[in-house]
Amino acid sequence: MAIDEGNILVKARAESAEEIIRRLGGLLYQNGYVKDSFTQAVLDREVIYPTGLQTQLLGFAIPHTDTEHVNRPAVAVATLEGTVDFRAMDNPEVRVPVSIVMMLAISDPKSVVNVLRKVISILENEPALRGLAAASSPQEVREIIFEHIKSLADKISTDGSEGMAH
Amino acid sequence: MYKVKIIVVCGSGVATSMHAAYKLREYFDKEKIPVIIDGGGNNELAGRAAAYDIIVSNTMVTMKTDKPVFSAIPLLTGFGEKELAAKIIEAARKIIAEKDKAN
Repeated sequence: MAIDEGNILVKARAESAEEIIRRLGGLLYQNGYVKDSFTQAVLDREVIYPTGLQTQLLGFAIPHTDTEHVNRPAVAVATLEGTVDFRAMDNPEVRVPVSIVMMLAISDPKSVVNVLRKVISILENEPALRGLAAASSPQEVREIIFEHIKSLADKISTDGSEGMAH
Repeated sequence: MYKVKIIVVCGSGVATSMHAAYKLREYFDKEKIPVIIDGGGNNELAGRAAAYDIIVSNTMVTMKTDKPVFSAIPLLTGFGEKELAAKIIEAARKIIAEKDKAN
């Protein structure tokens, strides 16, 4: 699962969830990780199954979609200047003001489940979330995610089948 | 002892339900309660719910069911997670007691 600096936006300004989804989807497409159908599929899925999550610290969204739109697994991240509203995962009527968006491009869930779990569990890591919100460069964002993943090495077992590109 | 069956669902069954299912399993293992935990997509729920005792979901469950339904969100955010796990385990213990009594 690639965490590529080319798929990271820092202190991005966006007017809406759709705008930031389009920008991150555009990066993943430009960089070859997803098919051109990916972004629209993410937007469509967000209508039915929204992905806004209120963590203790801030609003976080994990837009994603079906595996058929993905070439290679990757994570794209945007930290926002301000917030955009996503609808809440457990209740589409509730709006979550989101300041970090982590878009997941998943191609083969079984092969990436361990690393995917580690990435998702950053939601529970308050210092990491604080670090992401304050980060001033894509390198810094990438470092924080790697540090978080490393800190979980013992907690979430890896079976060796997962591929993580450094 | 009856083995409680739990289904954890999310929108597509791809990302968040797997994570929530793994974490929930850790709580059951800690309590040494035998359990079957499967993940799935929300669209499969109506067809599969009958085979499970407890439903845990990241998305809103709109189908009618008499089974206990819990939100899985605390397992993702960590916020209120222990409380949620305690509630699910309590529901599971109740089901085990009833099933074991019936046998």
